[in-house]
Amino acid sequence: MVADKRTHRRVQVIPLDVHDPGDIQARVRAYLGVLGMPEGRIETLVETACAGAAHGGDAFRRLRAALVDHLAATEPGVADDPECAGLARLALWLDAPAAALESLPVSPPLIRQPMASERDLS
Amino acid sequence: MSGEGRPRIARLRGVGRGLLLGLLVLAPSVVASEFMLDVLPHPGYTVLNDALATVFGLLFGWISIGLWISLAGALRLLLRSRSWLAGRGELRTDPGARVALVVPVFREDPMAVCARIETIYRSLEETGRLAQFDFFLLSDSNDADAWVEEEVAWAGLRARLGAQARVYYRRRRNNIKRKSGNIADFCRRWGLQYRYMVVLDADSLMAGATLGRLVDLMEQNPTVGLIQTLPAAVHQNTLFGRAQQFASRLYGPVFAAGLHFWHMSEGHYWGHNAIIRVAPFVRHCALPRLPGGGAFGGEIMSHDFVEAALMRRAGWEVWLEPGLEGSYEETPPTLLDELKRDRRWAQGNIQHARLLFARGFVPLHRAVFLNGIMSYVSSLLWLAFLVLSTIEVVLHVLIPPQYFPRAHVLFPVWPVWHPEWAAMLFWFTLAILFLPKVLAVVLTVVRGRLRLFGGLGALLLSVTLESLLSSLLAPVRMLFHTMFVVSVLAGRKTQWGPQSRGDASTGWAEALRHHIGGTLLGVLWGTAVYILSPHYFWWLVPVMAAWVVAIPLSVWLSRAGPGRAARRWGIFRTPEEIDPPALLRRYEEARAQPGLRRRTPARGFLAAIVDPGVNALHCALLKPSVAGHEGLLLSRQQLMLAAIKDGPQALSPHEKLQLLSDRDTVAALHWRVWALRASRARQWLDEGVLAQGRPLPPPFVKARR
Repeated sequence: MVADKRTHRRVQVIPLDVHDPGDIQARVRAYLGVLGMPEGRIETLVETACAGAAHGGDAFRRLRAALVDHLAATEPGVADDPECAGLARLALWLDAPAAALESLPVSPPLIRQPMASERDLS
Repeated sequence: MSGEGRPRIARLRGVGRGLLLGLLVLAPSVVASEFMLDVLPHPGYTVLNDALATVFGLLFGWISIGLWISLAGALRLLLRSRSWLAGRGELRTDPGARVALVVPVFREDPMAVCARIETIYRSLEETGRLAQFDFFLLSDSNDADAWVEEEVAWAGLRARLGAQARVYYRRRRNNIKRKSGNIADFCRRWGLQYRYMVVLDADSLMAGATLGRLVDLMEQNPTVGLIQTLPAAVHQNTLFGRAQQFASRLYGPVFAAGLHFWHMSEGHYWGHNAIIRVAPFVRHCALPRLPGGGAFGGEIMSHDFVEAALMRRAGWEVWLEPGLEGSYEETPPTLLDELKRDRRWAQGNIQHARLLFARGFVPLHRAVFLNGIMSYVSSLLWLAFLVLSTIEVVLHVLIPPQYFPRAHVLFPVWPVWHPEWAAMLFWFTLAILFLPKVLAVVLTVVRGRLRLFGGLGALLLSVTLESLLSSLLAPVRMLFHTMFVVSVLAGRKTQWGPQSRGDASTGWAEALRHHIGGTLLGVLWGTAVYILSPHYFWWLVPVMAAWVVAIPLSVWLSRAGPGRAARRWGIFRTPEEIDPPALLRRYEEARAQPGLRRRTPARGFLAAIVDPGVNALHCALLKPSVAGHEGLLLSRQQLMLAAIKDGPQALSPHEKLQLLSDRDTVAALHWRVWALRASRARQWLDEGVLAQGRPLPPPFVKARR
């Protein structure tokens, strides 16, 4: 119970995130299972993400960094940014080397040209 | 290279053929109108009789166009005439000619679309022409679920084809001008890099050899801007779909050969299964927004005819090349699906009235516009003919004849009606309607293609049943088309919806809702006519009976069971069913391939948020978020908080699209959802997924006594 600063009443605050250590671990484990992480690596990553994590948000932030580290072990030039974290997940899901996936969002170069509308049809 | 140097003689030839066809249609129509006047009771009601004869003449002319086209086509096929397009110059192959194969989609089944692209890709690979082609899946889907599933299906396709495959996915955020806008957007972005583009529909399939041949034909004929192939209808299982498929496969080639004869280089473009020279298309075929509102203003709905006309107006030839095999499409599986499509087409075609007298179009393309308009307006005329003839009969029944119309005459004027003349005109009209079918059968026999339709017995049985079916469906279509025309003229616009494909079926409630009006009209009109004039009633029976049985007919025809049974009995079989080409077999294999591994039941929008792989894919395909103004950032944050608080079900379709459009928001929401406490996470994550990470309870061991 904490005091509400505005009303000075005591209110019960329920944390938004999962906070029981067992539940945090279960959630992270479920996440890695859904992602398709090899069984052998799941427990290590759960340990890395959850050790000392105060709540789910904290654990998943660490997990994201761990996934980037996981990618960095095989790919050079990987930084702890959302893009690399995404690439790491993608590589795991598609079971493909990250280098092969970098071309995925690439389309042929844009060379724009106008296509002016006809104005005198009718 | 430009198409502007086309010889004057070709232009004159086009005008000559147009005039000849016009004469062939006009002269018999006038004679038929005159004959109709003689058939009508005499003395009659002059205005009414004139109106009846005029409407009949127009309808007669309309149906006789089909006869003349089929007759020319049959002659061409019988004489084994070589295509004019293929017969010109030397065949050229330039491996450097870059071709974009573009597939515009709008909320289609993405797995099926990707299976088709894979099939075409492999077929091109086999023929050694793959290096020339790039593939573009151009999405206009305005639905969050469809968007995400398209991305997943495309990523699966890329995974199967390998990283080197040049198969690209692009989704437009604003689908202005629909399909034509989608293609135009492609042309603006990437058109400069390609000499040709092959436009496909979501249900199109084309063999690699056919695509290669199309490119070679374009290279061989540098004045040609567009070549349209004749797609064969395939993959139908419902009885309705199979009957349509059979009809298009048997009569279609004859009709297309006829169009090739009459139109020559002023041919058709049907919007798909066609190759287009990109540079002139970009330069001359942009579609304007027509001024004004109502039925005739706004965006051009049926773009393909207009694009062909614009291409020709700029001096480039447009050919329908019916001799190319290996081009396929699917047709609507049910009557109601076909009618929904027709509602859009009716609006698009009627809008072409605005372009009939536009500057610079060749006469044959004006005729194409008129033909398109008549496809729907003819229904209105047919109904008008029935109404007028009923009025004529009712007046004759209710108003006693005047035997002495003028005073001071010695002899009475007896009412005269020649039912045998009416019967003769009826049979003659039927002959014009059915002769194209007879020609197609004769050609199949003469050209030794009976085996491809299951033999003579199966062919004749199928043609008979198809003719019966089309006779039953024609009045139903007529009633709907009339309503469409009236609704379009009243200024009511149709919405752009996804098309039904596969084995869709019509439920009783849906059929009742759509056909009950026609059924009641048939019963009431038929009863009234029977009471007043039982003799005339029998003339109306083919139309009224079709309206009365429309509900069960629509339901029954939409079922795949009777369709498959008909196939087992050898009815409505087509060459592709009897001996499936390698391309169609390969498509079935591609269709059976599993997609990407999905470990949650979440699909669409939900998957983009909760599935780590799908979320990563979606984020990878979005542009990096840009720091917009404060209001935008706050509204995104607000939307995300609302999503966390109330779950996905509380989000509107627009809000889902908004969330999915920003990379940082999608990524942030993904991690937030996974970190939520159980009661909130349950709104997003499946119970099975939540249970997945929990350690298993200790095994129950039965105590030994």
